[in-house]
Amino acid sequence: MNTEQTRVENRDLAGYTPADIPKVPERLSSKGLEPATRSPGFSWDASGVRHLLRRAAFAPNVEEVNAGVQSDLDTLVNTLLAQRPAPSLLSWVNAPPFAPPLTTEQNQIYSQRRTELREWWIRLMLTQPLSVTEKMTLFWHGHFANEASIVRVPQYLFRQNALFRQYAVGNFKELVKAVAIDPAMLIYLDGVRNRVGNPNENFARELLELFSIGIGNYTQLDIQNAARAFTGWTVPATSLESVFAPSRHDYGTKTFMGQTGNFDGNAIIDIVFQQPATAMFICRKLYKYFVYEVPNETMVDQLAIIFRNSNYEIAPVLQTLLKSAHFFDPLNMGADISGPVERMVGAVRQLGITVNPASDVVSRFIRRQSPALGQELLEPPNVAGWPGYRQWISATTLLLRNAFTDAIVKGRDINNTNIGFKVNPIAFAQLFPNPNNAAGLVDDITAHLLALPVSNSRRAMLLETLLAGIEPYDWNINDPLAGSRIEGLLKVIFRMAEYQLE
Amino acid sequence: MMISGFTIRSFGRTPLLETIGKYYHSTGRVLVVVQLAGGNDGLNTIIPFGMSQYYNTRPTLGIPQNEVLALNSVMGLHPSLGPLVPLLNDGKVTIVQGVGYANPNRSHFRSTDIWFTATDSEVTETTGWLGRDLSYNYPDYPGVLTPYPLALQIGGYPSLGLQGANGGMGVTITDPNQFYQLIIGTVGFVDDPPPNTPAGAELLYLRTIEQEAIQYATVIKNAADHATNQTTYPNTSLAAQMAIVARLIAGGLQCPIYMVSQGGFDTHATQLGRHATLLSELAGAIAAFQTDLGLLNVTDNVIGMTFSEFGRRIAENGSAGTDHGTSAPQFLFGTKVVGGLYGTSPDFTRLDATGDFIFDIDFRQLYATVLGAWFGAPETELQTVLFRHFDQLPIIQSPTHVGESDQPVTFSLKQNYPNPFNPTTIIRYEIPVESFITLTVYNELGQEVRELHRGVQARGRYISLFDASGLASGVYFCRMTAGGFVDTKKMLFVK
Repeated sequence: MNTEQTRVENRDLAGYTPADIPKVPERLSSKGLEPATRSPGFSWDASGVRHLLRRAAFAPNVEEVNAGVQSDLDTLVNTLLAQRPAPSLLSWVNAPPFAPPLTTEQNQIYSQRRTELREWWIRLMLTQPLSVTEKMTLFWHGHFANEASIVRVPQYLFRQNALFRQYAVGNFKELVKAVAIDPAMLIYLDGVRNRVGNPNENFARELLELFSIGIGNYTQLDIQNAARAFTGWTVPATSLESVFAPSRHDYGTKTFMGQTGNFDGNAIIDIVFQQPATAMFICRKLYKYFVYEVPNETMVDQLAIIFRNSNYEIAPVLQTLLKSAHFFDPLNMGADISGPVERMVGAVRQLGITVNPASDVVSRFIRRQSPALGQELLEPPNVAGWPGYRQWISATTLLLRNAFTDAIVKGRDINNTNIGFKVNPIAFAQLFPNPNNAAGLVDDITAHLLALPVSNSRRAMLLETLLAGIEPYDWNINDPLAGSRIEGLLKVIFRMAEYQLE
Repeated sequence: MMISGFTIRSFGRTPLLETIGKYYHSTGRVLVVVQLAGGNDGLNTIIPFGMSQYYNTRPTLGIPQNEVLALNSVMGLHPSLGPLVPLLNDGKVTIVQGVGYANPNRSHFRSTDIWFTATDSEVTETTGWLGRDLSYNYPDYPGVLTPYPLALQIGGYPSLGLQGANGGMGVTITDPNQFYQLIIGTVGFVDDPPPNTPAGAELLYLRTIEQEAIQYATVIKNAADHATNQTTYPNTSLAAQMAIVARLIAGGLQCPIYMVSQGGFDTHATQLGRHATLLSELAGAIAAFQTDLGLLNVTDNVIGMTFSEFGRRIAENGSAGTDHGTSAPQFLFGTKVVGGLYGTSPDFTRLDATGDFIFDIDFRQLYATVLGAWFGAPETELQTVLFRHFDQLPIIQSPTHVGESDQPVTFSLKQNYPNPFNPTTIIRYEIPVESFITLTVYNELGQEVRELHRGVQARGRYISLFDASGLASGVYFCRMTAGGFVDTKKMLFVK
């Protein structure tokens, strides 16, 4: 018997790899999806604002936190989920792709454009107003993971990125249908080679395993039949769009998940979305992205019901989750190991470093550090996306994160090369209410940068770091050495292991 | 501070004991695991060119008979594996055929997990086979860090294979010198106890990684500084990783397990050229590594082993590629392997319902073999680590018996390892009957510089760590006395 054709019961583990399962701490949140504002003991304060913005967007700057406190939870979540206008485009995105074979020069142009695209996206993350859009675009990129080194054509990479942004909190079922005929995906998972009589299983397998329903809910025969249903799509050499070629499509009868018919790709996707496991699969992944790596299956189940009832719209799911008592339970705060791009973008934002949208100095530095930190945008390790969570952190990547924060504080990288930007320590300190009160300043900066409270002994040590030998009553923001003392404090806070948690 | 000849050093505030574990550090043996990620096409790696079914199922991908590097009248190597031929001729490469498991899973991710966790196809496990074995031998790690890393992964995300009972048992680095440079300025706070919350659990994880980085940056750099690659490696990622491994082994890093990886084996389309390149990179890296180890004089301590999550379908697809399949051959390499072709050649009459090979050798037999025959793990340990008994394969020379119940019958003092060394080295000795033992280190002038042991010890095998930090470079002598037994070994300390 070939067990590939035997339906394996879902073991509640679909969607995360065993390496990812931590030792579950004794205390996990027991709060539900009811609105936090109606939860006893809830008060809207800076720590809640920071928690919401760190998770739903990127780590906020001081002004965003202050404005958030003046607003309220419902307003802030609604703002985060509001549709944003599409960003301004790079100049080449609508140019027809080069006809192969490419010249050396054309390959260089493509390589340069892929770099531009990465930096453009990083600038969007750095400069976007309060919105979940770029965070969700990053989520979809990790979910429908395509590698630029295989897709190559920058126009296709841009279009896929734009698709993720367009559907950031849109209809997931429509997004899956759009991705199935997206040029980058057709190239990446060999859809362009999938034709009648010569099916290629690559896309069909990953659609089921990674993109929609998860392992354990289909058979090898389902994969083979789905592959036939997706036949016929091509990406002509100089076209910006995919094209359906009827002569390449398999019009025969397919049997898929117990149903039989002359299915095309959309029909297959419709059947996948008839399965309750699909809503569970994506809601579990959203939960892990926004709340914690260990999914609370009760919450996942309730989110999946909302998801199905809204016909697979993402926004209502996030609306409920981000306003919930569960999300704001202190037990769920500070438990997310931030990804490299989130961490770098967040650090720049937290320090209020000015990012000129027309200049690429900051985005270039982030882009250049990202491969060594384990997250080169547009280049996930494989079709499963970045493994994330604890696998973000190795001895090497942890130290490289410290080197990054050192660099943006000092303005010089580990080789002592000027990186072209740095924090303005005095201006940063002056964003807080009492910059001339050393202990108060340490507390304010610590609370702003760290998602976890620090002990009194650590506070005392941080205060000593700031004072660097002077007495607290001698601390003055106008002292010529105040800037370098604040920089020293920032470096130490950034180097605390706590800083990697959001 | 000295306790029974063991130096206690303190880094940060993590307790550190020189817990020299069981067989790993005492044998000085090393295993290098080479991951071929994506599912290597075994059928086009070790090719049954003497079987007509091969060419029938591979009309465009079949490698023509006259290009195959024949091993016998039926089986041969892909032509890109040419660099392995001299090694095969010297008996330094074993090809183990038909390696897989029952009820094969064709998902990359699930099958990779199965290989890493060493479970049956249906069982999910959160620890890896190497991590479990290291936890078995070093149960206090990482609460108590060892003087050298227990496993070193070169690049990539921390591997599931190295996950032990208490978390990761390995350290991931990309470059020894960069790693050392980065550690400067690291604070490594451990004063605040983590809260009993999810955030606290993650904080503990982060701090452990940080402590490992602090602990190992110096020994890794010292090892890297202490040896130079003696051959030119091909300009590929895998070769660069293996060059680092060779350097660290020769430089005296007493780390028993290394993991390296090569990606790109998921050849669903236009496979011919891509696969040839991949195999050429693999063979080139292994050949350079073996040459280097030989020139560096450490070749007898090291074996390597490949693995890949699955082979590919027998029948090629319509895209001049192959989809996910089942069992496939794997390589072992090193001077201590029993060279040649092992196991049964592909049997086209014994296929599963999808038309793919049914495995012949369980992949855990390979694991049992390297842990048992190479590292000397006894059966009880193997059954704990691999969850049940697996027959070992006769593919490694002169299996060791370290760790088994047989006891020494003569006094002996072994040559220290590594030698030359900087600044630490390990000295093994054996006692057949309870005796009063002295173990003392002298310099060239005959002056005592360190007493490693003085006292009664029971019958058994012992190891002692000599740390020459603070001493001058030069020749030292280790002298052991036990009743009438006296022996001396010469050791070379080179800074």
